[in-house]
Amino acid sequence: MACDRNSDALSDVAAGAAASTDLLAHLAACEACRTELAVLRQALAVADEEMTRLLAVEPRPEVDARIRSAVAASEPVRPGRAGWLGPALAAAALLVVALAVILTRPPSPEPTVAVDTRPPPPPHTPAGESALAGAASGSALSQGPRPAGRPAAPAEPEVLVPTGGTEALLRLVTLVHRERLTPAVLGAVDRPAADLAELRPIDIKPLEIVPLGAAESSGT
Amino acid sequence: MVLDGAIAAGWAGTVSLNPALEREFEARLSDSSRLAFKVALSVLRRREDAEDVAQEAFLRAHRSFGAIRDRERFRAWLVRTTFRLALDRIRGERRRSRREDAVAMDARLGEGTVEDDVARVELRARVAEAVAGLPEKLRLVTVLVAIEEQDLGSVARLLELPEGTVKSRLHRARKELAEKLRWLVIETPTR
Repeated sequence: MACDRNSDALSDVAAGAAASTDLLAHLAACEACRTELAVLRQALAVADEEMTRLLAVEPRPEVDARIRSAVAASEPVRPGRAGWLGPALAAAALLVVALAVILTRPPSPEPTVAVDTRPPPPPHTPAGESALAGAASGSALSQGPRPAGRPAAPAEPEVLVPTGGTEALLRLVTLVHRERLTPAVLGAVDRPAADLAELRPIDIKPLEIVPLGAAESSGT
Repeated sequence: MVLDGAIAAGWAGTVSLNPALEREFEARLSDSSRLAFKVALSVLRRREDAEDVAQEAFLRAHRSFGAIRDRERFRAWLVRTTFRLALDRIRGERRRSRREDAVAMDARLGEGTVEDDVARVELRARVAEAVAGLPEKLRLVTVLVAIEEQDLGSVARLLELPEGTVKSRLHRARKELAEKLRWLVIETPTR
């Protein structure tokens, strides 16, 4: 067993580093360390021998011809078949749509977002009330601006869609997902998102909590 | 380790090269197919598997040849790609089943007694395991130094690294190997 304080230095020397004067003096006096160094060197000799033996295996002579045949047989890429083109076009189209929505939106003192997942309002409902979307909690527009740098809570909606636009958005997302989006299927609508300017918070009354015991006792 | 963009994109086919590029590719193939084979062999330890991986590496090289036609750059790219493909392949195989590759690849067993063969297989398996257990960058340096017959300058060019870095990595690799394999020497003192 080698002296503990020399084990790292012995590995270094076995791996090819020069031994220090102190280590050489110690080796001259310590048989255990000499033995350990010999063992480490022999271990490396075993590894070198095995690597040499393995790498002595040569490829068969026909390998180059086989590679040439494989290259010649592989299918050339034709223009328009590149796999990245469809997704890239889709991403670009989506970016244009998103920019159009952002740029046509009037400035708001409350920079919050909401998702409209509800159907269009009935005819008698005022447009401003119906356009508030995704406000099941009533908090998206009523909380005011968040402090800078604070991330949105996961439950908050992140996309503001004009009333009636949900279907078109879902269709767009589906086309992107199926990589079938081309400029031909996109139709531009030259109309500002007027509904968005009329968004107002809605009031939701606090939930009334009825104790379970009271309800059961009143039922019996 | 970063692969070429065309590989990451996973194109289905290959590009058609003009005749001049095809001639250059042919020269690279003749020049470097053995290198790719040896790199793959060092990981896979079976000739057939190494040939398959070398072929796959050249198929990918053909797709990206416009960007890697320079000889030094081509060989560096080929080494990285082949090494990565070989590692991916062996990891996939290990997920499916563990194989006794030391036995499969060795046609020279049977020269001594059965006990000798068993001991030799065990020894080779342990050495292979120790090399495979090295960090990838140390492992690749170790393999390339063996392939290039200790020419550190050549290895440095293949890895596109300073020679000092290669030397440092080689030292770390050998130190680690010595420490991993020392017990093997102690247990089998009469090899």
